[in-house]
Amino acid sequence: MLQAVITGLLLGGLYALIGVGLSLIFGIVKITNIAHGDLMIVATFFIMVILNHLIGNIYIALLITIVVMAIIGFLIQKFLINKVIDQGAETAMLVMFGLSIAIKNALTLIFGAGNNALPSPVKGTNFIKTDLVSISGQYAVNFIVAVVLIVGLSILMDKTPLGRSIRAASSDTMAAELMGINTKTMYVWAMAITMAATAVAGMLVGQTYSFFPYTGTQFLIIAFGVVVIGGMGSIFGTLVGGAILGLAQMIAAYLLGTAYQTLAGYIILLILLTVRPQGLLSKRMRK
Amino acid sequence: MIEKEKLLEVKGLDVFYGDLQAVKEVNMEVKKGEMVALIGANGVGKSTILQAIMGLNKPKSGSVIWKGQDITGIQTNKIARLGLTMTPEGSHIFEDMSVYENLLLGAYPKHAKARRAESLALVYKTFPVLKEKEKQTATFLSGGQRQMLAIARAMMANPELIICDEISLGLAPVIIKDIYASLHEINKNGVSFLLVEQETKRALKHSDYAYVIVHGEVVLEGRSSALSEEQIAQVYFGVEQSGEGGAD
Repeated sequence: MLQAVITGLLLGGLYALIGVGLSLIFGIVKITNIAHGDLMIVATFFIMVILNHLIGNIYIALLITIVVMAIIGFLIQKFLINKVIDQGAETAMLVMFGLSIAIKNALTLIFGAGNNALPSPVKGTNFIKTDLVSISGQYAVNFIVAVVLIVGLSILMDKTPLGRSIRAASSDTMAAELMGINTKTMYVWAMAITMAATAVAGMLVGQTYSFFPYTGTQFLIIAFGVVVIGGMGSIFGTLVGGAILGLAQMIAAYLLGTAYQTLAGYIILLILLTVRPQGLLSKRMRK
Repeated sequence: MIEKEKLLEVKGLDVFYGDLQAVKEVNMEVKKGEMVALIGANGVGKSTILQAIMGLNKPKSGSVIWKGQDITGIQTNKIARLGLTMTPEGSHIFEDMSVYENLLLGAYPKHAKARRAESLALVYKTFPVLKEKEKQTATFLSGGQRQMLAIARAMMANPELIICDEISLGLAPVIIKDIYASLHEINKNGVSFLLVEQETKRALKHSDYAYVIVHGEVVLEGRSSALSEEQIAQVYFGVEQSGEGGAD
């Protein structure tokens, strides 16, 4: 049981990092990025390609991918979402749905439908191993990186002038424009930052699980769970949401068997939706 | 008398909402240092005119000229960096940010950022209550304080013209008096105002020049001291009204 709790919490860190991008974009741009999972897997594949054909060092590959993903985020927001966002969130969501399908098919075309894996410097190592519990190196790394990155994002949003302007744009678009803030440029920044963080999530996912072009959907659902439990738009909420989802899955797997793992996640999600539909740490209720 | 510099000119402005014409052939101007009022009942298109000036809606025809430059139809954020700003109806302060953060955001344009410390000192001198509430989240301010913050935030942009949409709406008379007193104080430092006000009497009292709007058209204009409430009531209703003065 202790093992399940610890694994669940650690898993929750990774889940939180996957969810934080979805949460940020929902909170700032007010759209549900259906392509979030797929974009993350694009980063995973991108790292794989760099490793196979360019540079063997995964950290350098990650750095390149972070930059590339930020640029992709910039382009998506500037040339896709910003063009349609004035027509309402539904239109933007449909555009992202289209992008999601396009990404899956493009990845399948290039890489085939088979499984892939990223190498990891900590693969097969144990962070802690005692008779009572063991923590794999990968899970420990996932958790630490996720928490550091989420805290960093939170500081960026709360304490810096850029974060302040982004928050102003999301909290009251008209007022922000009247202050001289180009709100659409702020959305572009937000998407670029989000995609940079998503690149890191993509690497960790690729090191932890095997992945293929359609994996993104799986992680979109996890991200949804995290964000719905933690509260849409709340950065720290994703940590809580991730932890709850991870715990639910691991405890269910321990008590009922791994077959119930995914189901347990959904049940927790349903219960929370009934009891507290705005999420546990939602900053503001939707009007 | 020397002709004062024209800051803002609106020429032949037409604004439509779908097929409905909200603003018809409006011509008006604001000169440097002036306080200009737009008077009119609810829903006659006063706010629509202000929004057109700030680029918040697209006029069908006509133009908005700021210091000789045509700014019709350009993005609001670009207009806001030219030295004119607006406090929108309902204050629109950033609810979940502190008073201080709201003020910092007011100084977003580059030229304003350079003078941020001075602007902040002036704002706190004009509205000492905001200094006291500096760290408080804006959403917990009272109605009057919210308007003060909205005006203060506009001051932080170091503007030449502040457009105020219905700043007295829903406030107690004593607070309205305070707020108008601070507007005059700001005006003394050379900032022009374009005020939208439903209360005819108050509008005339606090402005140098006034435009009366009925059904999206300017039906009467003149120096505020030369306009009488009766005259305005007459154009409002098309008939002569007797003995019905506005409140306060």
